[in-house]
Amino acid sequence: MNQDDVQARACREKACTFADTGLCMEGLEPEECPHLRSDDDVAEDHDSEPLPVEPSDPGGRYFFGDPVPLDSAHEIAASYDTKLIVLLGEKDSGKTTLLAELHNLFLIGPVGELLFAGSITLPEFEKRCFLARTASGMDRADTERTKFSADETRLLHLCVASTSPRVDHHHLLIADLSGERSRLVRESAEEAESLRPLLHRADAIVLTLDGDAVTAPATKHTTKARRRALVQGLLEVGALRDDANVLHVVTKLDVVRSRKADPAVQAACDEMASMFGDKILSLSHFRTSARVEHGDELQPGHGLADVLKAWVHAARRLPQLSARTQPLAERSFANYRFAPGSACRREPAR
Amino acid sequence: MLLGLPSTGKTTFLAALWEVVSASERSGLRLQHLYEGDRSHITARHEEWLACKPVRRTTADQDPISLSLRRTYDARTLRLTIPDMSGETYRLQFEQRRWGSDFEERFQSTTSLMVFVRSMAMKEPTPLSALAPALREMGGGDGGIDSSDDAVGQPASTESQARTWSLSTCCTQVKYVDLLQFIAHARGGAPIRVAVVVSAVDELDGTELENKPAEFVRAKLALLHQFLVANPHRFTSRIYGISAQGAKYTPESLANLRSRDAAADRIRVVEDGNTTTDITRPLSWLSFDEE
Repeated sequence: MNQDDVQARACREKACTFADTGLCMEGLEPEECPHLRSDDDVAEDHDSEPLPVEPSDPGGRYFFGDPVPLDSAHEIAASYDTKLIVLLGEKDSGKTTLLAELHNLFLIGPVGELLFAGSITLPEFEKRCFLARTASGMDRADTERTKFSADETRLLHLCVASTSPRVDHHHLLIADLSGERSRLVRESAEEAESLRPLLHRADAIVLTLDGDAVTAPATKHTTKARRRALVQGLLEVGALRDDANVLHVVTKLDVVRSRKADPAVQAACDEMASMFGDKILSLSHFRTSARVEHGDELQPGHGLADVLKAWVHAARRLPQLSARTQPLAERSFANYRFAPGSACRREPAR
Repeated sequence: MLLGLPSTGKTTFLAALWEVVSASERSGLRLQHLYEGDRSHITARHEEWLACKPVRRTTADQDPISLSLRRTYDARTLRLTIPDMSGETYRLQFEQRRWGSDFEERFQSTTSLMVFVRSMAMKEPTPLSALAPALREMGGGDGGIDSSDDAVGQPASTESQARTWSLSTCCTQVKYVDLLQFIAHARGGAPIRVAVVVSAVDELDGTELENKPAEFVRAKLALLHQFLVANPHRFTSRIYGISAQGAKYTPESLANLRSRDAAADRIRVVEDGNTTTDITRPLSWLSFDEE
């Protein structure tokens, strides 16, 4: 029996000094003494040691914060007039950075005329900003890549408010699809088809074009070819329909300007319009610089207010209803659209 | 309810309030009746405050203080129940995304909220770009682009150097907005009155935001400000600057603070550009919709 065991098995007799000396006051062996605490007693003591204090009642309420699975989006859509925004684009084209810097803009004030009014995924926006902050320990701003998930699309929620002439809330659900997903869509009709329910429900489809890549001699042709293949692939399987509202967003404008390559970007926009402009309901172009790392001509978040405004005002052309129209979308979420003050309206896929 | 992250001045406010309602003749609210309960916590904090000693932080939630106050100019009474909640409790609620059923009940039944933010103790979302000029001077690159094709778009930093993101790294204003979202959610959208208190407002002295708590909130807590303005159906808010201590305790300031005729004269309350020592003003507004 070592010294720790001796001390732990202190005798129940107050006068006994077993704990200090290891000797029974009645001269008995430890196994013989009825007053000595047994190993079981000692074990029970350890079991009953107080657990670390749980600061909150485990039966209490658990709050939101995680991205919203697509299948749960109806809970928000059923409560508020909600716009679904889908971000598509190649890896490193700036989709996540756009969201991160939009959040950063709200941290210093309203974005354009829109105020931040809430988000049930607020920590997720913070997470996307982390690698661009001093707190990250990085020495140059970066953005964590959106993880590819083949079977589950998760959404960020953002509520913004216009205040004139009265306070109006605009709820946005934003799907930030990974660049890997765009690559698969280019290469596989099945993958393109898998996006059909999501894109049919989308009020705006944001197609990001990397301003850096499209103006660099080594990558400009590939970048444009990939964008063509992406749009063409979605059109061919009917994922992109003639009622789609596409926002073509050129990112990294600071790099473009530092190269004096605005004409190249204009050409890329013109090509997009000439090839696909007549195949979709609406195609509008935006030029942004979410972060400004080159030159001092632009302010961080350049162009994002216009993009946000376009999201808020995004509207699809809803198909005409007839008595024989049947909803065809696989996901029920894609069949519904809600408006404030009105009953749920079932929207048929055609 | 008093809401605030750790070390944001909630307990110091209560200690100063205790002095004002029980001893100050210029207070808009006076103590009328104190209900039964354990007063040891508040009296101990009050004595620390009177002696110009730093008021000890509340590390565990305390039983609520229950008292009735009488408004001096019309004798209307107000019954208050104020729990001194530990800032740690709120911090953990944000990070664990959870609170207990006792909290749920408190926030469902409360009619008003004081949100404490300490002016100089905030985690700000400083972008790395703000360090770019310093890095340039240190020879860490100019952040400009290399027009050679291979180098374009490559980040210079390595992710292995990066710290890991966690909820604790979120900036201060995000934590406050999220906690208010919890409360709004738990209340089912029922409206609540919110007094935003910029505590230790004396720390802003000498800056362009001296005695300008509303401007401070607009500038440094812009997300919180927008959130409150954009949700008028849920939050009716007003902004106060309060220095319950009067000044940061230094040998010079202690001599000055102790020289005041009344202990309550150390207090500074700023609202709409007006300064007073009446620390009950936020409570009057929260309770009576007027000072």
